[in-house]
Amino acid sequence: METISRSWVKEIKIDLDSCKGCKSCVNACFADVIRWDEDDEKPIVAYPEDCVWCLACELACTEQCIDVIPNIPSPLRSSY
Amino acid sequence: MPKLEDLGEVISTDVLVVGGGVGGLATALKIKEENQNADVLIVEKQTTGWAGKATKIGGILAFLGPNDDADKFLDFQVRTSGFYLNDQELLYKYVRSSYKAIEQFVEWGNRLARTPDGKLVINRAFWAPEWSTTFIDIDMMLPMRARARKMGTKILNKIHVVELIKQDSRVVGAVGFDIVSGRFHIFKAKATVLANGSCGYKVRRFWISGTGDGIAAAYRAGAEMRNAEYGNLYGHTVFQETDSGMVGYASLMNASGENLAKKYLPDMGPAGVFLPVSLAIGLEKEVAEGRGPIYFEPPSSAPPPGFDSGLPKLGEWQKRMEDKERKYGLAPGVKREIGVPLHGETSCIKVDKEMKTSLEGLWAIGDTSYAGSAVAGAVASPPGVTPGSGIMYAVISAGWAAPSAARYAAEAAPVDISVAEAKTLKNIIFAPMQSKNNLSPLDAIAVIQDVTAPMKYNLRRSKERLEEALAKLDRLEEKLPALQAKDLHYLSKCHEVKSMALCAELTFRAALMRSESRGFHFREDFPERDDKNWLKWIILKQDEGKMKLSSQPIPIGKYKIKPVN
Repeated sequence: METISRSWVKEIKIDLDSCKGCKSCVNACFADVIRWDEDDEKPIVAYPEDCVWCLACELACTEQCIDVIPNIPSPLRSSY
Repeated sequence: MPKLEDLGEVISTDVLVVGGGVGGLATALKIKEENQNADVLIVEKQTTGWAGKATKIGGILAFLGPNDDADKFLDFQVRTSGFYLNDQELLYKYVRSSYKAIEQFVEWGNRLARTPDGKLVINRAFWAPEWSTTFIDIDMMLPMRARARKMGTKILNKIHVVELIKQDSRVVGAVGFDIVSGRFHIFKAKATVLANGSCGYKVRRFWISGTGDGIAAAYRAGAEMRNAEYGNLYGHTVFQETDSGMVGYASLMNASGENLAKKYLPDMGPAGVFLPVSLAIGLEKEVAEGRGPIYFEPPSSAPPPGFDSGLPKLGEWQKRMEDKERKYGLAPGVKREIGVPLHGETSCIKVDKEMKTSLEGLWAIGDTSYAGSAVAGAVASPPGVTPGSGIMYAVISAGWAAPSAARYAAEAAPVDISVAEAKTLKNIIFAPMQSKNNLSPLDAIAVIQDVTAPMKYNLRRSKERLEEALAKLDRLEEKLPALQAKDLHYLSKCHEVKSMALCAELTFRAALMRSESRGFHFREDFPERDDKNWLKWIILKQDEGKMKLSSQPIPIGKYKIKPVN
């Protein structure tokens, strides 16, 4: 149903083997991109279309297992 | 007999703070400092301590130093940025409170930039007289959150508060839903403080959380709005590939290398860091007439953009950003085209000097009432077109609202919420989940951006184009009942769409009424400032389902700074 024109990021990689399940990335995300998988007790990238690579998750991750890859040129809405 | 508890989670509190960004946390802390026994609950759509815009980009705090002259700054601000639309008494109060707010951060356990011998770093601002800046570390909200919790503040995260609830004319709480579990929540509160931000229409990267939810809820509850026409801040972003950063506009060139600041801003003195309106319109003209794109080309002798605050988290974040831009961005040597995106910053809830709204039981702080407080005047962000005011205004206005709300809550009568009203609101809130229609919130956002972002509608305004913009918003408004949410994340987006559409309408209706040009409000059909007829604030209010506009004369006679005839 949703039509996504262009996203700010290409990919959000989380190395789940290194992830210790501390939830810091879920808490740090201000856009509800990363959700918590209750069954696996690991983060899931639920809404990558809303990521604006603020990098708060990367900064918060104690194990350094997140890599957000931006989409450049950016989809900045023109004002002209 | 049906009970509220049958509808969802019912939570009672003395003070409900909506929004867990820097303003919401500061409010909770100040209430607890005023009355340790006050029951305070912060409800946040994402996660308190990480939410909002404060920790995104910057960490700049702007203030009047202890030995600086408040009158000189005020004179500059009112004459060259606020253009007499300020509540000058409140602006004076703000400026005089600003250094205390810096000291307050230290008490709350925040890291501020320090010189090697431990003194606070104070940089003189080049864009305004008597004004200084310093830096706060980017994780600033975490020590505040820890302190608030220690003092007994309750925090609920991942709850989108959609509507305020009234008992007669008094606001007695709010309703919303858990964006993960879907559970409906009813908050009974003696006092409610909105601290959930301005509306930026999701155009710029770090401003996407500002969707005007508090403003829209306050308007629907009947609160008055003010200075809504100044919800149209534009900035220029240097690296168009990343939408980050903003530097001096003195080095903006067209494709032929012509300096555009010299062309469109002859003889202009300090005018802030944000793009002046005449230059923004000039950039649009250059592109329209085939002389674009616009580039940022500082002289080769200029220092590289950026700054070193010496703060560990801010430094680490800046390094990560730079590394990404280097790795995935445009190659070195490729000329950097600039964009002029809309920040918006619609922040129009009208408040008095204690941040009380026109509704009993409701306060609005920070970005919900930036413009509505009239502290800034004819511009979106206070105290004028200067960076470093967002975090500062949030914390200072929290300091004004907190004692007022705490005292009210201590004396207020108990709260009663109608089950029927709560049930109606629950049905409205969850309607997009049952919708068989197919209006995607993303498509609706695109329409809102098509109206709010173009300068031809929102900066280079005219009666004809404002009416065209409003007609587009009307057509969208008719379609909004068809919004469909595929899950709870998108249900939240559906309500953000409704908030943004309403904020846009408030902005455009006020802009249509103001038949003059002043500050960030520029009308091609009324290009001059008209002090004879327009030393007035425009007030907007819902009246029997319609948006009603009126004007309120500015008490310029009692203010220190008056227009020179």
